[in-house]
Amino acid sequence: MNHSTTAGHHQITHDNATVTGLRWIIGTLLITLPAFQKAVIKTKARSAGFISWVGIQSNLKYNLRKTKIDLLHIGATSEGTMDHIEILGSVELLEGITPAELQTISLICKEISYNNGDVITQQGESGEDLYIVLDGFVEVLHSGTAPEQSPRTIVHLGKGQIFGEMALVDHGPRSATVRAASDPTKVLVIHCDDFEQECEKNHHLGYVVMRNIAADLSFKLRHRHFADR
Amino acid sequence: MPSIYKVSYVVPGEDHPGAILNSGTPPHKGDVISLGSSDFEVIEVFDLVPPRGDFHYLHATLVRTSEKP
Repeated sequence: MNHSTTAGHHQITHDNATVTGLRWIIGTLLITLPAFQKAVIKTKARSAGFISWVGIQSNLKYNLRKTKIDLLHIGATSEGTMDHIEILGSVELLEGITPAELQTISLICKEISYNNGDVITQQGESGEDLYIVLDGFVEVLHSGTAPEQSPRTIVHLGKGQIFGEMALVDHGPRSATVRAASDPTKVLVIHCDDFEQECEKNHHLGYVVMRNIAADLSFKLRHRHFADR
Repeated sequence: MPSIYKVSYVVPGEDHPGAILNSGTPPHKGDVISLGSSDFEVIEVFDLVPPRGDFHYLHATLVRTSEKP
């Protein structure tokens, strides 16, 4: 009985010690894990050059659960997608979306490289893709209504700029011809149906993207206003 | 996340269409930048619209300084 009690007492003591120990470990983890996770994220990010993505992480002050999910995302993501996440994180079109949403978009992107002079979109033709300039420049040309009128360059778009976004908004024909103006010119292509599907599934994503498209069109109009002075 | 500067470059009085691009640093008066085959000097910089998130929206006026060979 005594033995049993003692054993029981010991067991209880042991259990208490275990519980106390576990509490201490969990408590320590709760305090240090976010910092540790940030450090891991930072190390992984640095190694791949994803400082901008880390910036988003630290700005959003995730709770522990969210941070765990993001770590899982990092582990599950291919290098190619990580490259795209880094680039997409610095694109105005996606400014304001969460890292998880950023990853969703990265999964529907593909990278294409063009040579100087290659036509990417042709004015008047139907188009179902949205483009983001990754590297180099593209030249945006517009032809007037008169057949003899030669196309006029409206603007050059560099890194981080989008084009083809009107197809996403109105599904109309291409309003301008866009051709590569550097060798090479790299772009990310997103099919509008895929993009719309994601926006329909996630209305926050849809709202942010549409707001940013409106802001981008507004910026381009302001640029034209100054260019035409 | 570091700031990103979306800059509208315009060359007044010329046929050059200008350019829009993102940069990690803002342009400053006196900077020389290359657009295609030409170099331009920045003579004016101002905020086109207020910043939003990490993005700053700038306008820069340019004058041609040289034509590249």
